[in-house]
Amino acid sequence: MLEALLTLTAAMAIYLALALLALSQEDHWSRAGMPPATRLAHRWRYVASIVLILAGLLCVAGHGVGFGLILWVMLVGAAIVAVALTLSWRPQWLGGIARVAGRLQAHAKS
Amino acid sequence: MDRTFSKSMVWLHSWAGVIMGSVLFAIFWMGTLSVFDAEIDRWMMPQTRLPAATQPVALDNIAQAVLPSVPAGASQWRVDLATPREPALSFSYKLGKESHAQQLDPASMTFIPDQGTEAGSGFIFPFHYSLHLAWFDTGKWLVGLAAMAMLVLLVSGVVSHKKIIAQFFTFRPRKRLQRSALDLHNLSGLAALPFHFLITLSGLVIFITIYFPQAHEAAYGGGGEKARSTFMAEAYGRYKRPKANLPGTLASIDAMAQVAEREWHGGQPYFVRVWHPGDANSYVELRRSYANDITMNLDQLFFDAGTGALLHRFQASPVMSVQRFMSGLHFIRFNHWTLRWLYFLGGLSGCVLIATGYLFWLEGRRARHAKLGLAGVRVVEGLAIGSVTGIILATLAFFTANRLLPLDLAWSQTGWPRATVEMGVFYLVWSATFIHGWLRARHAWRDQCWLIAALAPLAVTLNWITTGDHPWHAMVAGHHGVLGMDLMLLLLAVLAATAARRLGNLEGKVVHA
Amino acid sequence: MIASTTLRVLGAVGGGYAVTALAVTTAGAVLARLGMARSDAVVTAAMLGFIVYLLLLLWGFAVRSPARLWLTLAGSAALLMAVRHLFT
Repeated sequence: MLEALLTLTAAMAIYLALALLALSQEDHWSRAGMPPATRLAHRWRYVASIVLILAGLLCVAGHGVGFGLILWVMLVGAAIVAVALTLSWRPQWLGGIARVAGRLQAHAKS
Repeated sequence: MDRTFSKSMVWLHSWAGVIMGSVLFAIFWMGTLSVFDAEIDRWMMPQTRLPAATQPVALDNIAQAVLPSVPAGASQWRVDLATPREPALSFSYKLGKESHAQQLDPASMTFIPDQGTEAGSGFIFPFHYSLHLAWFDTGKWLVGLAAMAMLVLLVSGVVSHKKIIAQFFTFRPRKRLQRSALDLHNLSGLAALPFHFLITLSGLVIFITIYFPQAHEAAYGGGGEKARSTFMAEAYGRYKRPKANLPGTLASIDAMAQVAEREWHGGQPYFVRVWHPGDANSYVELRRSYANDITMNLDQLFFDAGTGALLHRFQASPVMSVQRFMSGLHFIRFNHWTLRWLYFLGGLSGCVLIATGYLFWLEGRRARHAKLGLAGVRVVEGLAIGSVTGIILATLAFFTANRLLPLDLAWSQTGWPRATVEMGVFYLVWSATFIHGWLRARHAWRDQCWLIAALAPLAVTLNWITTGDHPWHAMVAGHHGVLGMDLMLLLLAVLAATAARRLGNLEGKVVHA
Repeated sequence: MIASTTLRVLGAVGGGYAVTALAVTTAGAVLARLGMARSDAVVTAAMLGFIVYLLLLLWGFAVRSPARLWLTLAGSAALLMAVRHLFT
């Protein structure tokens, strides 16, 4: 049960991280329905990277080093496709993530 | 090839892709199916759809059940123990050059009748690594060449991709087929790049002794059988002792398994093999299960058959463990359902990669070749159709034949075993798809997609009719492999129908434009 | 053009494989002489062999002319055979 929870959390975190990476690109930011002026700064890519590493640690914690690292690499791959398909067919779904990130960025600036 | 490195890589990528794409798709398609070869076996061999064992079976009981079937003079017999995915026991023996195999139900210790099929583990999996071209290992060498081509394609593909970062998440399905195909090609290639590279490299590493047959010669002082067998024994482990030509007995194998468990710190054997059965010098071989690690261990123990005394132990050296880790990354004999499904998705992404590569190449040259009267697109199109939708159709025909052909002995009158007829259907249909592809050209893509969409649910229906295991029943009875197979077949039908409609719309657009 | 391409393909694919196989067996002997267990040395060399072949293939199709490709392959083969002779 714990292993399944860790895996699920890692998978969601990886999706989030990759969504942030995608949204940090102007093209995808506008696709998600957000005004270009509020686009994410590049430092969001560091946030995404940190989340990816944390997700990797979750995978290793749940599955051991060998299985965990392989699982992590495969989950990242699956998430890249998932994010790309979301952007192709339901870009508005990323709007939620975009808005939260945008608001955090605005707060940090002020 | 051209003036710059970049241009030469683009040239290389196109040519290697067009020439090797067919073989590569076959390898990836069969490989993807092989991830679930045990489940395909359950589907194709209904009498092996046994419930999971509630308690481990005593090895001595197994020995007792199979020994009457071992003929005098057999050089060895072995039983592969049941696993969660393979509930039946696999018994086999060797008599001279002949080998004979049968399956047992562990609950009743009775033999399961011959299922008359090679199924997943006997046809689909070996197709993946040998293309069933056994003459002088031609198939394995072709697969090796394709694997090297794949590595070259991956590197040249990345080098050729000018806007890798900017287009990382880009997939525009509603654009022209050429654009959508390229987007999907890039996406499936990049997202699973570590998978594609490692699965290919690990596949090659498995066969180091085939692809570099003389590798040991310099270090072992020359060629010849002696040098080779010394190398193999030192690397992979081997124990042999000759027959005594005197009668002997078989001690408790369970007792030997207990010694093994101690030696292996809790590890369990995955098979039992008895060499020189009935002889005074008979010995028993146990090897440790692969279920819990990626690395395919080489832990092996040999016991004197009469006394149970431990004769020899072997395990992989640290360097050999690297080769076995790589092998394990590819074989995936371990117990890990999440990873198994992710590998399945990875394999499918490889199939999408190759198929979209062909589509992109074809769409990019269609107009020009038509205008200049060149045959290139026409030839490659037929090849691609047979290689992609064709092999999928042939596989479905294989499954359908499995459900339609009766098990009874009337087939022996044709001179062909039932399993051979099934495989014959596969090759016949596959050949036909190439001819269809060359005759119908671009329309054949859609034709074959519709045929896939029709044949896949037919296979599911035939399973229901012939075994009673419709999806709900399979779920309730615990036949998860069968359920999975039926669901995947239905999903295939939906995807094929969607693709067929999409391709139909595109053709409509061309006509109106 | 076709002749040039054919020479290049034969060189990279065929010649490249031959040189790689030679390199693998040579490396096996060298590593064994340097102290590695014989079977380990051979397996290490064989695993690395695929990477070497990959690099040779990429270079073979990028190098300026088939002539240069064949000359380099021949030179490498000669060098490897000399090293192999020294270590066996």
